[in-house]
Amino acid sequence: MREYLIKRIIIIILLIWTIVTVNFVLFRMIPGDPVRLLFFDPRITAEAQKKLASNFGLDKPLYGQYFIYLSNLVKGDWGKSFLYREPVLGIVTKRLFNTLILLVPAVLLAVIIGNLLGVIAAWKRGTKIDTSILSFVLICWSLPAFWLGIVLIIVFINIFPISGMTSVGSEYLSIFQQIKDVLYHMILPLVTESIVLVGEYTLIMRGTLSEVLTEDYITTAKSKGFGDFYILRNHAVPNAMLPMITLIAINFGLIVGGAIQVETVFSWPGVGRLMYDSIMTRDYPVLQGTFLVVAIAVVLVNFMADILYPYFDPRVKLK
Amino acid sequence: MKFRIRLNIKGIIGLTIILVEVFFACFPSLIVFHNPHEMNYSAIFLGPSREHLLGTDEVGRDIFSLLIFGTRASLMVGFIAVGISTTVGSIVGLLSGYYKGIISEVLMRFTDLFLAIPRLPLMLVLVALVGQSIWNIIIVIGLLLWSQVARIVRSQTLSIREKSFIERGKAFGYSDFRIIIFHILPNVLPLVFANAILLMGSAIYYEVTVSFLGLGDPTHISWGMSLHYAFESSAILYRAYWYIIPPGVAIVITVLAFTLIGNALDESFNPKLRER
Amino acid sequence: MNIINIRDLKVFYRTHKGKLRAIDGVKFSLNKGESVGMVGESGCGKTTLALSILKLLPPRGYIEDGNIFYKGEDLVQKSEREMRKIRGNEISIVFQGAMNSLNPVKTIGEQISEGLLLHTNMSKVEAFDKAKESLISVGISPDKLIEYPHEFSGGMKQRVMIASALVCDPQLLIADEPVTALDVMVQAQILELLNRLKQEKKLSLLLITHDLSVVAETCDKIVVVYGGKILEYANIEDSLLHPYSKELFRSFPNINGPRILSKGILGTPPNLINPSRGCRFEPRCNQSLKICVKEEPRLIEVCDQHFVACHRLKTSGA
Repeated sequence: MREYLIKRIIIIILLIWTIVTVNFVLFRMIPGDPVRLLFFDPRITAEAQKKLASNFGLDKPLYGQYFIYLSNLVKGDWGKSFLYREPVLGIVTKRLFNTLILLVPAVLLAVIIGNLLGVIAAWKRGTKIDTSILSFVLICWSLPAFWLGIVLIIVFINIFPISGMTSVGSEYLSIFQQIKDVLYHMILPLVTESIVLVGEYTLIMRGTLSEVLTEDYITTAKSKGFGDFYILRNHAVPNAMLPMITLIAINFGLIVGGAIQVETVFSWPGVGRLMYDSIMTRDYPVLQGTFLVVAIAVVLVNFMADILYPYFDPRVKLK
Repeated sequence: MKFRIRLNIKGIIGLTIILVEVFFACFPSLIVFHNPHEMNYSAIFLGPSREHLLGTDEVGRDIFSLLIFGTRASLMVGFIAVGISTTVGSIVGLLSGYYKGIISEVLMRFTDLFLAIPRLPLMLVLVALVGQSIWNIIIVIGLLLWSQVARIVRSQTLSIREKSFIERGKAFGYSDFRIIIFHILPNVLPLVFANAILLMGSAIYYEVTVSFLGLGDPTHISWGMSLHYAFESSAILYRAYWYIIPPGVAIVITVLAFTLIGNALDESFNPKLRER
Repeated sequence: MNIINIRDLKVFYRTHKGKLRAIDGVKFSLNKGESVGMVGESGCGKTTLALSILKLLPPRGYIEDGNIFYKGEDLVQKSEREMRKIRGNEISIVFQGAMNSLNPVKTIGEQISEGLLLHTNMSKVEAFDKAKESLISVGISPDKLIEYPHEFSGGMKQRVMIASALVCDPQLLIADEPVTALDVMVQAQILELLNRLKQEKKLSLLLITHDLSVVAETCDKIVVVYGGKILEYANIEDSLLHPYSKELFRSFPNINGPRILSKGILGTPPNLINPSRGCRFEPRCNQSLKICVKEEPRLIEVCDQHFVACHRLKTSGA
């Protein structure tokens, strides 16, 4: 177990280091002098620019800049937003919380519904029920998240809030009413994110479960006198759930991609919307910071799935 | 080995849709009678009418014309980006599957790295940095999708390389290059082809999303740009459904059509899938 | 008194090329406490017969005609719900592929005791105690109950399968190639175990195998099946008379006999989709007569409790 863990941790550190380096290189190797873009906000004075330059070691050769970049990252100095005039790290962490509030329930909902549909489709394989689920799911899967969001806004514009996370003046309400207000704002973005994710999960579950249902131990359970439902719940689904854990983690990039679109459309003040805003306003330090956070988050989720998997599968013995 | 392409009914439907779209993309002027670039500030946000089948946008352009002309950008992105990613992915996959040892290891780690970084954010950053043009978008998408192809080609190559006819080729003294090109590649090709069709759906999806998120090419007409303008011009508040629904439906239909063809090809090349 | 009585059973499979007659008019019975060995080449319908008794045929298979009487009640007429009460409770089965027959994510204890929880009113604790007993009776230490199948060897898995099949004290055990995938030492141990349990629990046993020596060690009677039909039915002490049975017997090497290389039986098993009108074995038979091509031989009693389906025996009056 220990050896496995150490190995995984080394890999994860290497991966994060690579991402950090890619991030450094990307923002410096681009035509049009992105260094200038990154550090010299046209809105500040020449003197302040000079000071910034020496702060970031821009007068030094590239490898010198790289080490300054690394040490600044570790120290938590991720640069300053052109737009908000605040440290990037602070902005991103604040927004990360909002993103999680939206994403965690959305993914859970999608996983539950996706698994349920997948189980039904696999169980009724080849029937009309299976075909209808498949068609529904394929359409969900090809829907661009942002477009679905816009369509839902048009349909529900008079019923649910369509923008932001809170109502104007909600900070004067009681804490209970504030939570209710956020939940109310969450409905449409949450439904949108869940719908675009549900397709993937259904297809995966249907595929794995169909395979599990052909295994010998399913026949064994039948020969003991168990009915379909018991076998499905106690024998088939627990086995089919195992690959799901890994697959959800591997496809975590998909979740992030959906979140950027959904947050943009619903003006949800999360990391995704921050990324969109930073693109629109050419706020490069923020763009760099959000990309770093998102990429590292995806890598960490995969790492967690790797670590947790052995606890669910008795066959994987860690040595 | 010979592979016969047999499409099921879903595949034929998908193919028909794509062929119609290819026709639109090649001869858009035969279908529409408005110049899609023509603005008319006295006719903005008009609903569907005989003059404007799908109404007009915030600067008075004819939406039906934009829709038909937009086919070109989507298909172009799909074909060229997938061409790039399939070529790169196949080369990496073949090499890392055929050679054991350090080359294979390095190539595979590189592929894993690309798979680990979330795609959409990376695309956004890259396009934001290299500049918004349709060609930059195509190249970025092409260069980010190859890792998937590499993985599939590698695993297929690994299993083919163990087959006896490869051993025989080696015994005859054929060069590695010859074995890869004439013996392994033909066996991998059907799978690569089916996967390429599936990837086209993804490529189009990414182009649309990148454009919607404000990084599209403003000089090109595309569905993603239409939706970007619709969103930015508050078409939602005007409830201009005629502006928002058609490009989205076009995207869904196109992505779906490629998926149907891809799945049908997969089934026709992979007898195991057909039985189940 | 017979526990299983099969009458003119026909079981078919739907295939692309037409109906496959996997079992085509099988008739035999099994007395209480008796053990019958069923032998034949692979693909002759042995496993199909086992699955038909429990009505666990795959979706493409169905019982076309005939009856399967279990203690006088026809299983063919029973609903799925009624069958569930019989499976694992009155009739149990042990399958060939012990490797995959156990669920990898459940402990041995859970898998043995779950049948008890279904068929009896036992509490979880009682069921676990009974499972422990059952595990001991197949010669496995009871502290293995909380382990997972992947920690077990092939032979041990098969013991677990037997323990789990017998935990509800069924009347009839069907063992479908129970030792095929195991090595010879383990085979002998498992057969010994089956023999012992059969005696202790007064179990009726239907043992399906392609290995005549397995039948000789375990069974009172032998049924020879070929192409979905029974060719011979005899006591284990009788010498087999049908040409196919003889060939089958000969193709197994005898340790005590002269050292000759086994010849095997020439030809391939018959086409079950469009079977010939005559005897199924005729194309491979080295003693065939003219009538064998035209007419199918019926199963006739040649001496006490010994039935053979062969024209040659009828004409020679043996």
